[in-house]
Amino acid sequence: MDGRLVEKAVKSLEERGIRVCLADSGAGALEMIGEIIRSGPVALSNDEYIAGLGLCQMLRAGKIEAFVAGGDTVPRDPAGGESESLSKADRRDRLARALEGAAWGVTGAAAIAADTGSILIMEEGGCSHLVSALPPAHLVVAGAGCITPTLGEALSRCRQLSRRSLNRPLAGRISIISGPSMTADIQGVPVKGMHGPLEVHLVLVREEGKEAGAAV
Amino acid sequence: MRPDQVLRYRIERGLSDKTASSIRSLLRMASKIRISGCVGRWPELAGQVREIKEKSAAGLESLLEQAASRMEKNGFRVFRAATNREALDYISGLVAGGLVIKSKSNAAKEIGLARVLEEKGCRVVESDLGDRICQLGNITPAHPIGPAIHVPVDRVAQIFSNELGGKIPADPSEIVGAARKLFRRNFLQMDVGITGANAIAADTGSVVLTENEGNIRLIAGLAPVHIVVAGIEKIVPTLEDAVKVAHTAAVYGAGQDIGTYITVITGPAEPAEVYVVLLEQGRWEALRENFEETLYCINCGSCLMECPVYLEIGENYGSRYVGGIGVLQSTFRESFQKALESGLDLCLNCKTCINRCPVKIDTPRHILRLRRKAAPGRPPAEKILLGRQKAGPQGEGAAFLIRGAERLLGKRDEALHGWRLRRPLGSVDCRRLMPSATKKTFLAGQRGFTLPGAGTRVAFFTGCLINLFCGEIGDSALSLLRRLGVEAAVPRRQMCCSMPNLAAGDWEGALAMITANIDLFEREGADAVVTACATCGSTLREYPVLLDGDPRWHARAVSFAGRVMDITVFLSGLPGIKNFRGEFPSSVTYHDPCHLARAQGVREEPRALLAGIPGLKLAEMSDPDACCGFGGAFSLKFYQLACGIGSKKAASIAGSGADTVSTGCPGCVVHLRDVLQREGMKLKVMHTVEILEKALTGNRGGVRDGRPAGGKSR
Ligand code: SF4
Repeated sequence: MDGRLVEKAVKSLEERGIRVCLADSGAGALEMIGEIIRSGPVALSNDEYIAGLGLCQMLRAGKIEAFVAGGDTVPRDPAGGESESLSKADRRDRLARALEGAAWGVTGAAAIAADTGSILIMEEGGCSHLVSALPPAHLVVAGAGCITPTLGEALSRCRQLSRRSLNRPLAGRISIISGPSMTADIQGVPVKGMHGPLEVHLVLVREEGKEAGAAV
Repeated sequence: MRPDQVLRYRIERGLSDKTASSIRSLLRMASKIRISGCVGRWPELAGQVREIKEKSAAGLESLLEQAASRMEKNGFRVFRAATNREALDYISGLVAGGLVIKSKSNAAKEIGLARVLEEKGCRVVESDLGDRICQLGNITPAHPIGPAIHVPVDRVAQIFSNELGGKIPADPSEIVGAARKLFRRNFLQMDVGITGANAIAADTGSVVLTENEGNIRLIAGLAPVHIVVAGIEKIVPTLEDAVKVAHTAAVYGAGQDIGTYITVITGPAEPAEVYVVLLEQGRWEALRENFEETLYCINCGSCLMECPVYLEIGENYGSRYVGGIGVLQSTFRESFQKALESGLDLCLNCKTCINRCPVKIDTPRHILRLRRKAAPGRPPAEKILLGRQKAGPQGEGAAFLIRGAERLLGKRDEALHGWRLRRPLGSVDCRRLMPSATKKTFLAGQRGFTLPGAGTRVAFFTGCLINLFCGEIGDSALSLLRRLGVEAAVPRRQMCCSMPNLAAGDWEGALAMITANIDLFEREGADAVVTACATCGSTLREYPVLLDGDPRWHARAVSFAGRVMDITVFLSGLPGIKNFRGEFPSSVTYHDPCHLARAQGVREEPRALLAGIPGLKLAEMSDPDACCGFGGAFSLKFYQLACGIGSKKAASIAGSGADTVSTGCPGCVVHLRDVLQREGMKLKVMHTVEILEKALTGNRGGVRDGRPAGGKSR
């Protein structure tokens, strides 16, 4: 792994207002996330990398409410209705409401661009998109191996991942996130958290030989 | 109302809105350094995006096919709308009613979508905070970037308190928190979401959008029906190209290293549906008439920030798209009448926008090209004056009319060495201080032959202003050249450079004079054609562009233009230029003429020449290359605007603390004298060569208020 590339990426990400922590292993990453996320509910995107970390179990063990959004998992209906019989539209609706009540959204990343300081989240269905958009705080866990020198190369990486796992030129969504949601529409005063997260955290895992989680 | 009446009304309206004007100045000041710093960090973007846009416009037809079929494959429904009407009808058919949430979209604004949906009974919610404040408070947007930036914070608090119930404290973060909640309710109930597109990638069939707030992401993530409305000029070949366009818009528009969010939508988020409406209105016409550059615009708004006319009257300049580029767009997307109403005549040709534009659109040139269509509708007096231009050398054909006007209609102002109209004449304002025409023109005062000099032989291109009004500048220029051993010929039959005719749209007249000049100066056979008029110099150097495609003249124009040189550039290369006999003990500030600094890239030479003069202290003003507001006929027709622009210049000049203003264009000299006397400022305004000549010859002469004494042709 190129240490200088990581350094450059961290610098750009921090300039964009993203808070970055470096972990040396998956276990280290979990520990750091435990420090950052103090209360729930936490929505986790349906992402292999995150599932592999055992984040959901860890949070629950710490008595923090956590659920996986997307895939076949539909958050429990607070009213206790059945999940199986729901239409797609209803499922989505319920997901949106659950995310609206979440304190944190946790996603992986397909790529990180070192030049612009951007996190690229890619997926097919649109769940990670919402996990990263609705809750007031967004945490990204990713392996440092997904860092590319430029935004252009990050997009090439997205193309490759799409080809490999979907056999399509490009997955349905890429969200390129370069900081917390912002507005300066009231008398020019910058305020965070207009429509999206007020905070964006990145836990970057420097694990040798391990490919980063590509959330497709 | 006639188009010129509509335009006058818009100017009045713009000038009287002081709040909006101060917001524009504030935003300009706040963003200027940020944007230029940011542009410096991304030096390669501009050239790359220009190339992308060139390719896209050249291959638009096949790109459009490719994009449309790719998007269909991705599961979008694509509709190609030949006209605004078609787009509106199609979208009306999709939206039955209910809650429609919109983001800022140029194309939606272009077709007037929100109004049509509201008339259908939809509840339309603007989701950009600034736009929403304006919508709820029924407030006119003050600026495209910060539409509600002028609304006091307690008023904003009150607007959202009314909506939410309760009392929200007058604090931006509190309000944003409350507004967020209110918006969320809307988002979760949204029936239809509408966005534009910053770019569309043909290869992947992706819609690319950038923003900072996150409302677009919520629309793209939550809308059961998402309608994207975009002009076909947004289509670019690849995904990487599209993201580059979005990236560049943030760098040039906001001085941001990248927008907070760039969303790439390549498939619907099931079960949601995505409709893409591709708007063709006027785009093919622009291509056909060789205005493809207008399709390169990425709507970053960077050109507006420093446009002198926009800074004065804001959105009143332009139509559905703002500023000079907006006037161009309205020509093709609305009508020529709209272009006239929205300010086809307002462009000063200062070229500020070209420098600021990431894709380097030459808006002023295209505006000049379009004015050709306006020529037949010019008032008779203007047509007569322009027609007389080609009847004699530089301004002499019309001289009797100008002298007659001064004598019969004018009132002399002895103290200021000029005159004003007793009452307005057509659109000419009677407050404008006009220079008096000299009894004998400069050209008429020249000997028919030249004394051979030691080395170089140049031809002096005089220009109408020097020929009729400012002979002393010509005298200084010739005296300098000859003293330094240069043989300077002044061809008697030289014609106007043609800018006044070009600016009014009289291309036939202009071309007659252009070719006459090329012919004349070819026969003169001088090593260089030297001029002391920035506007003449820049126009002469543009002859090849103006004669592009003319097999008889183009090559000759190229060789002629290659020999044209501003006098300060020529003088800088002469060995004797530092042998000053006298001095110029003054504090001098230098005003960069638009047509010298931007059009010819001459900034250093005049400063270096001035700085070398014994006793002279060069005091820079802020924004030395900001336009003074002259613009030729502009300052006669739109005097109030010219004065507004001039006042800003006067403030910069005052800030320099200098007692003399030096500049390289007789047009600027004439206008600055008027502006400074209006502001009650007592500075002298002199052409750079006048100062140089005094220092070189040691003949300082007396300098009377604002006007150097001893003009030999006076
Ligand atoms: S014309 Fe203006 S808005 Fe368009 S790209 Fe150039 S600077 Fe940006």
